[in-house]
Amino acid sequence: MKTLSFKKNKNFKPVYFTKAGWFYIIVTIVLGFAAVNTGNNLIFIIVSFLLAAMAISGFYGKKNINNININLKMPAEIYAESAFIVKMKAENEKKFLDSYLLKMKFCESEIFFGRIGRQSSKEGKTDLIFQKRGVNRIKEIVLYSRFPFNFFVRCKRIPVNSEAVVFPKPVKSNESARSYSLNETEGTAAKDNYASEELSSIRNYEYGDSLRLIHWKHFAKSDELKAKNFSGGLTAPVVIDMSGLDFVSESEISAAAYDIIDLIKKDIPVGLKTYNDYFPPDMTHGHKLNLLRYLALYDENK
Amino acid sequence: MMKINNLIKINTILISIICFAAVAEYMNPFVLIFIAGVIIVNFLGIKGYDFYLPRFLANSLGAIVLLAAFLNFSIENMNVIFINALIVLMGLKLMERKQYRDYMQISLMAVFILAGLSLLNLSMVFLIYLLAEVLLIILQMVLLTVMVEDETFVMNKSFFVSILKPITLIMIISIPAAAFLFLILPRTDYPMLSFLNNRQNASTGFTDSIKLGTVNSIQNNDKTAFRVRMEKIDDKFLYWRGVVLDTYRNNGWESNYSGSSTKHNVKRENLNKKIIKYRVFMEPTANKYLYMLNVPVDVTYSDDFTFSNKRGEVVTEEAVKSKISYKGVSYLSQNIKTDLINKKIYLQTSGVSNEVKKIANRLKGENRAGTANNILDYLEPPNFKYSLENLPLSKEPLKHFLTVTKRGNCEYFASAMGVLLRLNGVPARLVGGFRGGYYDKAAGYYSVLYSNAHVWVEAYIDGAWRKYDPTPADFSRFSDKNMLSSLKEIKLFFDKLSYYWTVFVINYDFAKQMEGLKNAGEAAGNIKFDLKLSGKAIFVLSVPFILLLMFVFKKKSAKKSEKILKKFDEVFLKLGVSRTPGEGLMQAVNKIDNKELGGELENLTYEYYSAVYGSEEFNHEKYRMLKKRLNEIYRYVKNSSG
Repeated sequence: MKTLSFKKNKNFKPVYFTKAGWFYIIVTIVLGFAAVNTGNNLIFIIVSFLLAAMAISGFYGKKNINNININLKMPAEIYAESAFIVKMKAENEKKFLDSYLLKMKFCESEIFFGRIGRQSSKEGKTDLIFQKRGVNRIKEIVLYSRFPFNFFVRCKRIPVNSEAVVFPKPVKSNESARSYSLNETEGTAAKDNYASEELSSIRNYEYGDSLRLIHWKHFAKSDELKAKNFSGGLTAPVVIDMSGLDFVSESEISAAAYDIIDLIKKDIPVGLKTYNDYFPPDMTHGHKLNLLRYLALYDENK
Repeated sequence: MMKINNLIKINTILISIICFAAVAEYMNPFVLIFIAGVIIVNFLGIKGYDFYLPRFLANSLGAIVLLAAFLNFSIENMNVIFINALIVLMGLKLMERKQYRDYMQISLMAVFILAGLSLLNLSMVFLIYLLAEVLLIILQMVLLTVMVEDETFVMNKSFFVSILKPITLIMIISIPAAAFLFLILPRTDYPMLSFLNNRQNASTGFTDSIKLGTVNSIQNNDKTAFRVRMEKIDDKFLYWRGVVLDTYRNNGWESNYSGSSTKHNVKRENLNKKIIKYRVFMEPTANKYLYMLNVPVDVTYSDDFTFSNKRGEVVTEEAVKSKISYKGVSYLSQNIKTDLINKKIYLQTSGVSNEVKKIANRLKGENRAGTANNILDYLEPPNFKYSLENLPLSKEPLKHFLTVTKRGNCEYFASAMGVLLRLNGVPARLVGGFRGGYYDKAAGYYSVLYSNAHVWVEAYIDGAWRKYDPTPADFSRFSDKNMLSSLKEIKLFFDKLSYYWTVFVINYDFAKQMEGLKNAGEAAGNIKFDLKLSGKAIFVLSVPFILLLMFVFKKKSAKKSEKILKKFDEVFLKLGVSRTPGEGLMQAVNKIDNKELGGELENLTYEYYSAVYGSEEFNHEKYRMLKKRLNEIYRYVKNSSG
């Protein structure tokens, strides 16, 4: 199982001073020294205000990041090594105080909220990339805020326990140890259907399209390769068979993921066969997600 | 909608303007012109006309300014020089292209300039400038923090209004917090840098000599000379002694006394009169006399001084150049009983014209007292009139006053009487000081204005210096508030604020801090044993206490459900059933062999669940009911098993 842990977890400090903060402290000490040694009460007043502002900013800064609730929304399809958009809903549960300048950091991404009103919520989003397929967890989000004075940064770890199954990165591969087989029964069914399908449109031929789809008549006329699009019909179903492989490498999984996506895009029903499991060909969206999820968790299933 | 940068620029200008306004009176004219230019350039910057000084140029100019400040250094005016240098440095900083760091530095310089101002001027106006700066700088720091997070942030109106709330909150909390810190911050009795303090301009001249025939504007000055915390006394005793003028020379009176070693030797026989203790808070005067209520007995002042009880005069070693305070003791009398050591001095006259001598001859009485009374009668209205205007300004003002104009202020009347007494062989001297004072009952102090300045005469008759006041003025105007113009009344109101400011802020020191701590300790001790608090005080004190209770109570109520759970567990344990963590109550109840108790506990469990998780409310009654019944079962089990 892979979990993404936060970099600063080990030396997590709930508060650290900024340069400006250190500078402010030094100035306060200098003026405090001046006050004591001149006995001038007006300088004492200035120092009192400096100290009061420091204390209050500390107190307010802590309140500012308290009672913030965070929900992460992951998209349904996440592929390894490719960016996706994650949505975050941050809720300020405080009764009286608005929260300002909140920075949520997780997995080297961050989301900034200028203001979240009291007892209200805001949504933000950011790009995120997961490197590995399988279950990826975001255990916690670290909330940073410099509010109110940028003298120190207050941090807080907020547990979110958000989990996503990351699909394998689809990689096109022609050299493959996997084999493709036509399912006997489904194959005949497909044949019948093939007869009844109707030509709905013509599009540019793309590399990888089946030769059967080439619109030869059009090619004869114009020397352009066009592919036929059929509606309502099924093409011959394909089963990706990995059951014969001794060792399923990451590249095999990536290639299989590519084929699944590619075939379903072309409206070709696809199935999957491994040493343990068999998924009969289908071309629904749910089926695609099932197959990809299966591939995502492949070793773990074994 | 406004870019955060522009908002910060505007606020920077506000901070600068307030800071410069506070120190404007100490600014060199060139510096003033430079600063005005800087502010205009900054305004144009907001409008989009950018003009910046390259950083290296600004830095080198700054270095030159500092060098110039060091070259001009002198102990006397170092504060002014350094404030001006700081102002120029801040001006240069304002001319640079500014980033976060620079904006912070500008705010910091504003604070330092205010700190510098406090070394020059202790007036209450400081507080107003300071509060304005505190508000603006808090706003500035918040805006800068926004800028640090997002430099391109666009501040819309609703965001700005909303962010003003925490700023106001911080400001409101910071005032009492600062006040508290002010009281408890550590202080010392021996400040090492106290020489930095001071040097206020003594605003008005209370002069230590009288020169007839020149314009003296002091009596038109409404500023406060000093304030005295004391009980209210009869107006006729309100004579505040300053300087004793014993030498008549060149149509004027001077003091020829530079202090002697007669310190604190009060003649005890004088002390059967009414004794008044008081504390004087004096504004800077730039001369060396402390004002004492007639007749002074004793004085306590932190600096070096000489007290001569024969002259009734306190002379300080150093001129009074800053606000000071001292304690005094006086007895209420019109006479100072003492021996006359150097009679010759008090009879000396010079340059008195024959006409004046003739008048003096006419006024000679049977004895010294008679002479004095004759002179007093002679100087009375309608013969002579009191006037502050059209004073006789001539080469021989005394003769002019006595023979021609017959009108003048107290200086003329007192001078005339002094000279006439001396011409008749009566030792006489003039006393310069103040007459009257405006009493504030609520605050318990007299405010004495410069316009209360007065001169009177003392004649040595029958072994005592006796007070004579020949000036025929209506003295109620020196002490009756009803006679004041409304403008003066407003001034007195501000004077009261200023009094509190002086007493509680300016003069707060280590000794008072210790005293305060002691009092606080005693008060805390008293509360325990002696609840002599008024209803109001109890109410005020109880509010935070009640809030605290509510807070604690709220916390408790959240835990009540857990308490009931514990009670359940105790009962289960007594019945020999243990509930593992995570196991529900019902499961535990089912393990109980005793059907009757099991049924009862099942009912209670149901009630508990419906209150905690169900539609019913888990309130205090529910809690008490459950607790009571569980206790009953517990006791029942305990008794039956035992």
